[in-house]
Amino acid sequence: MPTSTRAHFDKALQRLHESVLQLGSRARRAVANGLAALTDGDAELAREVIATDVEINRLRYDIEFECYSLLATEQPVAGDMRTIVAALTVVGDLERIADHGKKVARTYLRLLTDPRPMDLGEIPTLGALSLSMLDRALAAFATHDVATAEAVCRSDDQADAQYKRTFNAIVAAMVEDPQRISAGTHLLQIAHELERVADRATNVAERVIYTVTGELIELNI
Amino acid sequence: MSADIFNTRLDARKRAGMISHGLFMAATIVGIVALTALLYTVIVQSFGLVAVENRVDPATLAVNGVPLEELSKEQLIAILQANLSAGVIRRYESEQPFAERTRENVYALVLERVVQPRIVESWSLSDSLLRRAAIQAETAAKHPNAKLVFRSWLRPDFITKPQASVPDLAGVRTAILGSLWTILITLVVAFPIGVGAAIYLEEYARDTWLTRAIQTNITNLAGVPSIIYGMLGLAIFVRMLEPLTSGTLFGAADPTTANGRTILSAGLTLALLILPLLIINSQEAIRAVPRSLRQAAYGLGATQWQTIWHHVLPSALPGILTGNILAVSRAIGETAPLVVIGASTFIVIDPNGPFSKFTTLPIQIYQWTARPQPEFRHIAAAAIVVLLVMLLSLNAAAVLLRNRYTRRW
Amino acid sequence: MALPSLAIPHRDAGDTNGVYAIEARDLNVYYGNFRAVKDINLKVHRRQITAFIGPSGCGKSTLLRAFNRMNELIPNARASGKVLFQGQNIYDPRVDPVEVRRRIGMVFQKPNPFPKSIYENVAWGARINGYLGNMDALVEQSLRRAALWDEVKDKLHQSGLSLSGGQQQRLCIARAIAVRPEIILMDEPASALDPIATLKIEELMRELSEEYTIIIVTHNMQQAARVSDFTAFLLMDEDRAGVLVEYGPTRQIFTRPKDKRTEDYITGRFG
Repeated sequence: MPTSTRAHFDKALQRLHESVLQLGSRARRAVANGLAALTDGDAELAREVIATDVEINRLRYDIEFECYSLLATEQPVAGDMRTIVAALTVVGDLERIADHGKKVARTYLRLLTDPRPMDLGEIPTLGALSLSMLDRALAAFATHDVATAEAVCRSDDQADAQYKRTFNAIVAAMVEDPQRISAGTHLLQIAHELERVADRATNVAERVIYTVTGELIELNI
Repeated sequence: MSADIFNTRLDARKRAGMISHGLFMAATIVGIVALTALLYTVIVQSFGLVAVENRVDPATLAVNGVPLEELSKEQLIAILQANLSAGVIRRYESEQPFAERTRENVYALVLERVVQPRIVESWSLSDSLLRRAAIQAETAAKHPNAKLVFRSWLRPDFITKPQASVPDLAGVRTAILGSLWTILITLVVAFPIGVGAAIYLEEYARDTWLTRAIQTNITNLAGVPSIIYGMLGLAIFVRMLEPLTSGTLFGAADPTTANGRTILSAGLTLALLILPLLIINSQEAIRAVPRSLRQAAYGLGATQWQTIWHHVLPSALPGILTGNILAVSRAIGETAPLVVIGASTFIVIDPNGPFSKFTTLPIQIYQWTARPQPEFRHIAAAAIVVLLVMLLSLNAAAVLLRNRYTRRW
Repeated sequence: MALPSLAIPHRDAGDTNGVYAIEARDLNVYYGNFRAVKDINLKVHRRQITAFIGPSGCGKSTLLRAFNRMNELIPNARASGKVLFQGQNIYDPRVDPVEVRRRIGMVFQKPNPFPKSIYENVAWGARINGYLGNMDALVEQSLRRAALWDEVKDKLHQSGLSLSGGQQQRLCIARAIAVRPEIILMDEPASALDPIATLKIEELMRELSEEYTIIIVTHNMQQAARVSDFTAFLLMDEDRAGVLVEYGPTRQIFTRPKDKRTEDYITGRFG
């Protein structure tokens, strides 16, 4: 930070940054716990994920409000403006990521009632990949690390490929045994949610690049 | 408590302020007292009782029981012829034939030459009011034939009559006209030169050592004693430029003078005297015109002259006038340089142009105060009142003119 | 010896390909021995608003005044380099600054109407420049363009000083456009005005930029951001001479400035 003539504003931006990171870590935990509930068969954990989503949503709206206040009162331009505008979109993405975690947990609870369970197959691998992308995106956000952010964007293809593999494996199992169509559909849903997590992690990484360089380009094609 | 780190000493600070307040008020009061004292002495001398003694009792001049003041013109002429020498009558006849004179004129001559009222003693206004009984007793004892009358030395006669050797008959008309003529020439010469020089110095001259030297000199000249300007005027206008200032160059010389001691010389000398003040005052006024006004004009594609003529001068004019009223007032009151260049002290003929001999009010006053007879003290005081009134009305006129100009926007 | 004067060419009526209205080339302005602005190269876009921003003393006003030779009114000021206007270097000794200033008008920081009537304020510039047309029409047209006509049409013969600050400034703009300049230089035109009057001036500038090239110096970065199409950022170098740090479209300057010093300045981190 340069010696600032706007120490008050700088503190506000620092607080904003930390709040976004806090939201990021809670969204990450929602996804990780949803996935853990699924893999470990922990219904309690799944219910906890669903319950905490309300708090995550509230945190997101708090941060959003803070952004609007800063926009209205500080008239930020250039880097400051990019930081705040990026935070606005990033908290949207993070809140959605937490939603994906919640949906994984909810879908898992539905699976529990299914009489014909089905093997998770590639889903843990997809989940681990998405989580790792999210981790790296959040790390890039925390340190304004453009190189890491670009790497996250590039690995989106990997996530897509993994999703396709997972999708095909589940569909093949469903074709093999039509009895499993119900469970399979739920698994497809979970795989889809996890793939969306990877997508949104890419969005976060893109905002990191925008914040630092001011360039607004979609790397996630 | 933050109060601990301030020793406000409010009382002491206020006390210091009150002391200054008192001192300033005292200064003002001293000024007012001085001014009042001045006015008091002048007014007290301008009015008062006089003891008048006639050489010939007007009662003895009555013809067949008709009092002097009711006699016809012819009868009055007869009285004159009976009392005055043939030579004196011829002189009056050559000035203006008696046939053409009015009755009033002849009556005045009779009073002046035959009755010859003479003021034998005079008193100031304060004495007249406070010691009236004593004065009456004194007069009765010293001048049994004298009549005690209240006399206002300052009267219409005093202003309309020319100078005379008898204080009772003397007036200030020639002096007033002389002052007005002189100041007119001073203004006509000094105003354009002063304002012109100020414009040049403020708007055109570059800031070089020469300009600065000139500027310093002008400032110093404003402080030079006026008598020095008198010497300068004597050397240059009266002596060197005599053909010009006497008017012989234009064939307009006053045949009775035909030397350089004229109104023109006086006006030019006073113009020189007030020029430095005028330049400095005008410069101040021009400098006070905001730069933004000049820039606005230049920004529209105005030339320097257009900017000066349309904006700088009109804006500076009230200030120039204010400053110059003071300078001109000073010139009106100047005595010393005019004495040096040879103002006449005794003139009975009205000045009629720049090449006339002249006197001015202050010189007249100076001359009268130098006389031993107490009556001259009274007419000097009256003349001072006239001078003050003239100064004030000229100033008032200038101020009105200025305000009229300023109020346009 | 006065050199034969050199007329500045007028733009052909149909000329649309002139992208730039005025251009500084290697322009330096000195006050005595002090160099106030240094090696400025800048092309000002025609019929756009260009804002000069920068900290106090960075030479932005000096640069602005160099565009119509207004600096010459300050003793000891001089310029080197070129300012090209209609293809002509206005610092050519044969060019008359009086002509330059009519073609490139100016509006100042403090509203400075002449102490004359509203009508005279507008008419004076045209009259001294030998305007041959209908003066009443010119006054009305200029006041209309300055968005002042409706407010003053019933009191044209009252003093210009009787107007409010914002109205006075619009009167000054009307006065400037009455002499039909091609470029209007504005030196902090709203810094003495309240926010509403400021916004009115800004709106007016936007309208005027359809016909005129406007260059504005402002301390108010938000104003530069709101009103200008291009922004030039100036800064003092180690000799306290003003240098051009960054010049570009306003939208770019205010969202992603290229130079770190620009970013620090516009975000208020100027030390």
